Formats: sequence, C-alpha cells, structure tokens
Amino acid sequence: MPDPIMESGTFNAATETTGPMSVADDADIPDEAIVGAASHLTSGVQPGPGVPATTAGDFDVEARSQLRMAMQRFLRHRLAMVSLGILLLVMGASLLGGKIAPYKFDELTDVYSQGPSLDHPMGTDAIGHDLLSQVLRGAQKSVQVALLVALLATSIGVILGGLAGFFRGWVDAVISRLIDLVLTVPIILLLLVMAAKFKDQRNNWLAIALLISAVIWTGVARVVRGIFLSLREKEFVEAARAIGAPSRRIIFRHMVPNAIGPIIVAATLTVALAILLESALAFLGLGVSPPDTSLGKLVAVNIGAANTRPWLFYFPGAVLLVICLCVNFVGDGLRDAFDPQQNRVRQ
Amino acid sequence: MTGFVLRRLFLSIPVIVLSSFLVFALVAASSDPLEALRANPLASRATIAEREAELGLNKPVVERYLDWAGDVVRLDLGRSYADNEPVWDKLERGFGVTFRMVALSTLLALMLAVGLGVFSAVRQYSVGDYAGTFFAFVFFSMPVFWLAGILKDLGIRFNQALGKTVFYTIGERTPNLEGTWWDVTANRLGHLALPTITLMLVTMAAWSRYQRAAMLDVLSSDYVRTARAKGLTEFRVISKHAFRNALIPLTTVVAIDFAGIVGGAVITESVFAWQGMGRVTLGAINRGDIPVVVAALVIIAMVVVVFNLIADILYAVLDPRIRNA
Repeated sequence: MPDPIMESGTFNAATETTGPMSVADDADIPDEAIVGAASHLTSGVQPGPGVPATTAGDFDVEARSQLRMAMQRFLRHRLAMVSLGILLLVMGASLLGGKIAPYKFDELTDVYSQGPSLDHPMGTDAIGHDLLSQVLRGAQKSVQVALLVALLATSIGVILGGLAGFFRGWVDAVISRLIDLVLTVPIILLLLVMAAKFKDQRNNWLAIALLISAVIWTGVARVVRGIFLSLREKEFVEAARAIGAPSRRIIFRHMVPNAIGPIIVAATLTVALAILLESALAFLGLGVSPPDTSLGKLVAVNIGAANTRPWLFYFPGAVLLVICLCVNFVGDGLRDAFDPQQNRVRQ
Repeated sequence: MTGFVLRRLFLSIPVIVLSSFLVFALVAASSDPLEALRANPLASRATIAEREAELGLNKPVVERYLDWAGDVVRLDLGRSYADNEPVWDKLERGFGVTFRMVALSTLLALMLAVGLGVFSAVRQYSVGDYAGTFFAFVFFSMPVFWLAGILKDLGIRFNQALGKTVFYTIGERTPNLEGTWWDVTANRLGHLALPTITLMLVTMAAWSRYQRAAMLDVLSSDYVRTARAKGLTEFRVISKHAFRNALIPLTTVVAIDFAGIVGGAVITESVFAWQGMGRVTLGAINRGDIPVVVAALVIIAMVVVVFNLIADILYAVLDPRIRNA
C-alpha cells in the first residue's frame, strides 16, 4: 500500500508542547551520536508536559489528553475540515441516494444519450439511465465497499502487525514474510485472480470488499508493526509487564491506545485506496455485478464515450476523484493532528 | 560487497518459491481452465475427464505445483492451456512492449519526483510548494484508467485541432509502417507518449511526497546547520550536503512500489489497447490459463526481488554507515 508521508503545510509544531514522542523520534536521526545531546538540550528549553506551568494564573493551563489535543489540532486544520465537510455531504447524499435522486438508478427513461439538462443534471446514457441517480447509487456502493474494507483491513492489520511487533521472533518472521509476499505481486492482478469466481454473482460487493481487505491489510500491518517494535521497549510497557499484566491486556490496553494516531491515519488512507482498487477491478471487468453499479464501474463502462459523450465519463470520475481527494486530505490532517513533529519518512 | 549481494540473492530464493506457490494455489483454486469445454454440449464427460487428466487437473495442488516447479527449474515454463503455445513465447512478445513503458515512466517519474520534492522542500510553504502538494494529492487520488481516459480524450482533441495525428491513442505502434528512421521513431514516440505520461503522473505523485518529506527532514538536521554555519553557499549546502542524504529513503519506496507500477501498466495498456504483457496476463486470467498467469506473476515477483536487491545496494552506495557496517 503506498502510504506516502503526506505532511501538509499547516501544522504548527513550534507552538505545541513537546511530548515524549519527539525524544523517541530523535533516536533515528542520522549523526545522533554526535549532535544528539545538543538537540536534547534545545528541546528541554521548551515547557514539556513534565514541567509544571509556573504561571498558572496567566494561562490557566488545563490538562488535556493526547486524543483531545489531536482533536483540537484537527479541528483547526482548515483544509482537512473543508474536506471532511465535502465528504460528509457526498456521503450523506449517497446514503440518502434513492430518496433524493430524481429517478431510480435502474430506471430507463426515454431520454437517450443526452447531455446535462434541468431534468437530467448529469445527462443520460445510451439506454436512458439518469446519470445523477446512477452516480448517487454508485457512490453509495463505492463508499460501502470502502468502509467495510477499511474496517476489516485495519482490524486484521492491527492484530497481525501488533502480534509481529509485540512478540517478535518467529511470529514476526512469519507475518513479515507474508507481508513481503504480498508486496512482490501486483495487487490488482492478485485481486483479479481471486475475484474471477465472483464475477457473475448478484450482490457481490461483499465478496469484493472481503477480497480487497485480504490483500491490503499489509499496509496497516507494516505501520503497526513498526510502532509496536518501538513501543514495546517503552517504560510504561515494562511497568505493565512488571505488575503481571497478560500480553493481551498490554497490547490492547496499553499499546494500541498509544498507536491510535497512525492507525486512524492508515485506516483513512485505506478508504481511498479501497475505492481506487474497486474501480480498477470494475474497469478490468470484475466490479459489482449489474444492474447495480459503482463509481468505478460507471467510469469504466463509459471510458469509450469520453470523446463523444464526455458527461458520461467525466461526471462519475470527478465525483470519485473528489471523494478520494477529500479522504486523503482528511487523512493528512489527522496525521498532522496526531503527530505535529511528523516530518520523518521512516516510521 | 559481492558477499552481501550473494547472500541477499540466496535469501530471496525462499521468497520466490513461496510467492510462486501462493500464486499457483490461488490461480488453481479460483479458476477453471475447462470452463469452456464444460459449457460445450458436444463434449462428453469422458472427453472432459481425459483433458483433465492430460493437464493434470485431477491431481492435488501441491503435486501440480511440484510438477510445475520441476519444469521451471529446467527452464521450461510449460505450455498454454488455451493454444498449447510455449508460455515463454507468449510472454516474451508482450514483455518488450510493457518494459518500454514501465522503464521510461519509472525513470521520468523518479527524476521529476526528486526534482519536485526537493524544490517543494527548499521552498516550503511557497505557492509552488502548495501547487505541487495539491497536484500530488490529485494524481494520487485518481483511478489510473480515468487519467488515461482523460489524456486519451485530450490527445484526440489535440489531434483534431491540429488536423494531423501527433498522439496515437491505440496500440503501441502502427503495423507495417514504412519510412525513414525518423518517421518510425516519431511514430513510436507518438504511441508511447500518452501511456507513459499517465503512468508517470500516477507514480510520481506519491514519490514526490516522500522526497519532500525526506528533504525537509534532512534540511532540519544538525549537519546542514553546521554546513551553513561554515559559510557554505546555499547551493552547495543543498546539492552536496542535503540532497544526497535525502535520496536514501526514496530508493526503498521505489523498489517496494515496483509491483504496483506493473499493475498500473496493465491498466494503462488496457486503455490504450497495447499488446503488452498486461493484455496477455488479463486474457489468461479470464480463461483460467494457469501456466501463463503463474509464469507472468512469478516473473514480476522476480523482477521485484531484483529491484529490492538493487535498492539495498544503492542504499550502501548512498549511505557510508551501511557500507562500512
């Protein structure tokens, strides 16, 4: 899964308190041995969480949890908030779908291949489908698939990545090799091979979602494994182990909450990736089966019409682009919010 | 160095073996090569059973895999179920075509991504940086075939406006073209341009973000501050001290993404109707032509493994700490 470090421009690292994370991050800065001491000195000047606020009367500092701080930072992230707004709007519209659409998505009107008009804001296709109604239905299916994939892939990724990072040894070896294996084959071809069975089934969106989850959990797993490898060496994990907490409790009560930021970010980016993969499958002939449709399918079947009836090709594609773009912007905003120091490539 | 390369090559053998088995089992489990035969009312049960035995389909998967792997070790990829053509001949034809597009677009994407990423980082928060960021996100959030369709549409409109064909939108070359070397080259380039740009833009988007992050990281490091404090010119600081170190993370990313690029190439080829490896593989997947699918996927896997090896070597070249460790 390509998860580029999309560190956007609007974070305000300098004004935030320096959490313990920055010290941990310092560990993999090159030449740390030589200049590490200096950087620790400078970061020590800023009031960290451990330094009591001496001028409480002036500032009225209130203890905030990490999650809440991230939330507040996210709410201030303008681009991410706008994207979230648009996303909610599009998702809301697609969920209401059938109720607000002017026609039924599989209804055949007697207007054929006509460009956008008042009756058909996005035009109609060759057999009289109203494109707006189809786009709404398609968005619903695409989002449905994507959300299920995000849920499943993130769960699998957190569990397997967590196990690998926590237990290391042979568990890590097995899971890491599995991840490597998936990286060696183009995901889309792997999906095609597996999806061949479900080509002609009705309501196959569930099968498609399951298959996509089965190959893209590796992205989340890689992220979680990396974080767990560093978290397991932290004092609070040692403390938990010292008081006899079982592994399950350490993983889910102590480590997962500390890794929640990157997990949420990875889950968000998975949504966009799932939409794109579903559309690629649809293009190669293995998308949701007719009469149902998805955004990817709409673009795919109308690709030949791009030059002659452009509305059929450009409208669904634009909606698809807007959804994925907004999801990625939200993910990027979340990344900034959870980790203001984030400007590192390796995690 | 040689020892390192040999050790890595040796370690990658199990990866290839496992990968090929996984692919073989998946393809065998999810496709039925005899689908067409079964649907044929004239084919008797005996005929089907005979064909099944002939292809070894009645044997357990592990045994079939071992048979196949035994042949592969003897450099025999087997024959296509569909037309009995040797698999290698079938794939070889598409290889060159796909390779041309993948290699060119990867190279261009790499150069542009590095350039754009470094520029964005050096001019952080400038208009150019914001524009670069925005377009990277756009291309990153776009289905490949939609972008390909748009470029195809634009190419056709451009040709129409110009009154002659500059961008060819179908096929990888004009069949039976006769003319001077110059004509042939222009024709090739005209075919190559749009698919390559498609693949390049999609690939470049994510890479430029990695490169920007890596460069920002390096620029805020202490040795860059030291270099500036020594009084070096900004150009020297960036080109000699920052740039080299900022290239390191991208090498891994490029190697890891390679399989994804091939996936993108399959889709791009499909839009522009190229007779490449993607077309062959997609056809084979649809027909349940196991030997062809498995061979194509295993070849891709081997290329990915080799790329990872090259990335590791580059890592050592770029980072003396790894070289001397």
